[in-house]
Amino acid sequence: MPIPFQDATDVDALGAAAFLKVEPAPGWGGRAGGEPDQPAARSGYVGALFLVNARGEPLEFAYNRVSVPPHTFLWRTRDLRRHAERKLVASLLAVCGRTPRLLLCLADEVGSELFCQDLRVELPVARLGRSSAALAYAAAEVPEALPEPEPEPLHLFWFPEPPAPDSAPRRLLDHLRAHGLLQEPFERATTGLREVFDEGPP
Amino acid sequence: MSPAPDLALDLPKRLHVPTPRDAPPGRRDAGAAPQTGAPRWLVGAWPCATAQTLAVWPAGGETGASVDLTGGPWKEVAPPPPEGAEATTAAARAPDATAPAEIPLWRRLAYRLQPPAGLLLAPSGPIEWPGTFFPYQLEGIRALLARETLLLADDMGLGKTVQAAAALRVLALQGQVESALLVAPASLLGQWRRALRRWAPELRLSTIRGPAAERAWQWRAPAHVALVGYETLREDLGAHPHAPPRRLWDLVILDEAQRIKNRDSEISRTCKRLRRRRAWALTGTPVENRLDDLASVLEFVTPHRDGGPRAPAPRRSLLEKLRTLQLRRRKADVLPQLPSKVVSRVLLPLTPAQRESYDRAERDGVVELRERGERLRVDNVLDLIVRLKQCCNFCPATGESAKLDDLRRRLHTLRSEGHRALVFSQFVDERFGAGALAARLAALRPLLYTGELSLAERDAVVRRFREDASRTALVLSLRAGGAGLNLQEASYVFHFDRWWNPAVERQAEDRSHRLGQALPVHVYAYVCEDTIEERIDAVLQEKQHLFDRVVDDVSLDLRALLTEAELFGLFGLTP
Repeated sequence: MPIPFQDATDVDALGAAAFLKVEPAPGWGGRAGGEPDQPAARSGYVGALFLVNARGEPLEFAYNRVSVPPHTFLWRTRDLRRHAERKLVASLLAVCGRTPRLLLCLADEVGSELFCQDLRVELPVARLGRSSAALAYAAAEVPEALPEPEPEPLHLFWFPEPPAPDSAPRRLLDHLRAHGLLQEPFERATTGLREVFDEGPP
Repeated sequence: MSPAPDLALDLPKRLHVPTPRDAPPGRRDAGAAPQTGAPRWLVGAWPCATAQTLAVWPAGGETGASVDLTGGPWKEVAPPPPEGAEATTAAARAPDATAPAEIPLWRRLAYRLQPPAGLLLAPSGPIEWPGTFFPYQLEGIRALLARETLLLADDMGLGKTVQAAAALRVLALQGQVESALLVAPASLLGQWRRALRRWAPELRLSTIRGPAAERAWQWRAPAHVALVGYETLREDLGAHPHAPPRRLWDLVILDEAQRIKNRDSEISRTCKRLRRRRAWALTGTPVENRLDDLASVLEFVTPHRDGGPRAPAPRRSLLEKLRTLQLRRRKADVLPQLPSKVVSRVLLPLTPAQRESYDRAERDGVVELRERGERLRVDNVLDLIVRLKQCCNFCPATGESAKLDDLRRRLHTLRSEGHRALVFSQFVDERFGAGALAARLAALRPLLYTGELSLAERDAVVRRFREDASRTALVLSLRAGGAGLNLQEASYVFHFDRWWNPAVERQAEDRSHRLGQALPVHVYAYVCEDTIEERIDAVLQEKQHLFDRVVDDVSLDLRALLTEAELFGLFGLTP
């Protein structure tokens, strides 16, 4: 290109990325991720689907809460969590107002089975995890390690498969990564959940 | 596995957060409330009422309130009436119905979900910045972002404009500032436009100037930032009770805020009457003449609840307030890499013709003063001082000038070495001031910058000086060119005559000695031997030392700071 330029709309054309956040409802005990068999006095989960554009600007924030009733002793906590997570995430996806290019979630919050077995999503889904954490992933997932510019390698577990090079989702992923936006929106989603649910359980 | 348990799933809610690019600026809208059930698009301007922008300052005299948002419940004080949709869901309504002023959840979310300032300012963040910030500039930007009010009093040349422009951009992108008013000396509006275009390219600007009818239209233009000169603002604010400047601004920035140092001046009152959520005052010299200057500037960045604007604060409380409201960094502290500034006093004897004219003027002047007897006023003495200073510049009879001869020699040397210079004079005219200098130095093809030029002509002069390296000298009147300009192309500064106020001189020097300057800056201040210039210089130095101990960067005004006895004493008179 004799005269290098970038059209501002190019960034807009990269589309949106969805960041899925699932965590135990504040003050309710239990963990969405590890220690699955540890019982909680009262359990429930809150979730958010946070859509940002390639500039990191918020586009949509969907949130919901699911409570697990007491006396579910016939269910293992792990299964109960999976069931609750599935209902919660499905409700968030159902209310989403636009189609993102990517869906990202954290590997220590969301298990492989959610997108590999329970919910089928028609776009690339990646679970993110740090190499320092012991991360399990399903055989159906495709791992990918991102080196720089992260301080330690970031692992992505794709389902059904990583976006092809030069595809729109890949360009968006690269753009987010280059601009410090691959993990930061999860923090904002957490902040949003705190803002919504911090008054405690009803 | 047993049958699935009956989980209690709430109804999901969705908040649509319009981005700043979605809607034109200037519209105050309620944003988009969360939706339940089937997705539905809402069209709305980006939400602007946010955590840190809720302190609403009233127009002068009205009872107002401001909210401390660092703790306690979120409460909205006198919000602008929403034009858009209201919150419709239970979650969107205030959780506590007994707290009617609580900020709706969706508004809080719209604020909380914005990219954090740290990310936006990061070199590898989502915003592309046209340059790299110095660490002290990042601190300054963060301070501007974190506080509703700030007096940014960095040394001249440290980039107050860049810091303010960057902070404004971040606030706009976060949706916290939808409409900002920038008030600056008219001659600096072009420079501000350029800085904002460079450092905040997303923002739409509207410069308020021209005939009144045109300005009325400009005030209504949808813009993120309205740029206006002090005088224009004064005219337009008083124009009629519903004049556009009277609206509620998310942010008001006063550049060269020392313009409001006189609390009784109309422009000072005008600026303080502006309704604003945030207020930034930018100046390198918050105190020019006396502590009252500082009090007046601080009133602009102090909510009314902290004390009535008319009540002069005692010195101790003033300094305490300064400590909480002022952010000030010195060049020597934050920019050790900035080339040094070497100030030299050039003591010259007058030419014989000048001496004769000077002595005669002084002799006649003193006689005249004595003859006035009891009718003698300070103004009479000041008039004589001006006449004598003019004699020091050029002989009124022959046009000879010892200073000009020296200046010409130095400029020729500088030209041969490829250096460039700024020459300041307090006088504008073609007999004793900048006009005379430009004419007498014509062989060097100097450029002339004075208040007599239109703003466009002044911009053109600065551009020519920057772009044409063959222009060795730029002659400026101290008043028009002493503040705000960036002239790092020159590394030599000459004060052809001395102004009463050392801070103004320093400000002029810092047109060259500022960020971007690669060479040591040499300043030459002319003082003619055995003249009024030498006597005043001595008194001012003594006063300057006294003030330096009280407030940093203080400067002096002869009329205000020399006692009558001192003034009259310059001529051996007694008041």
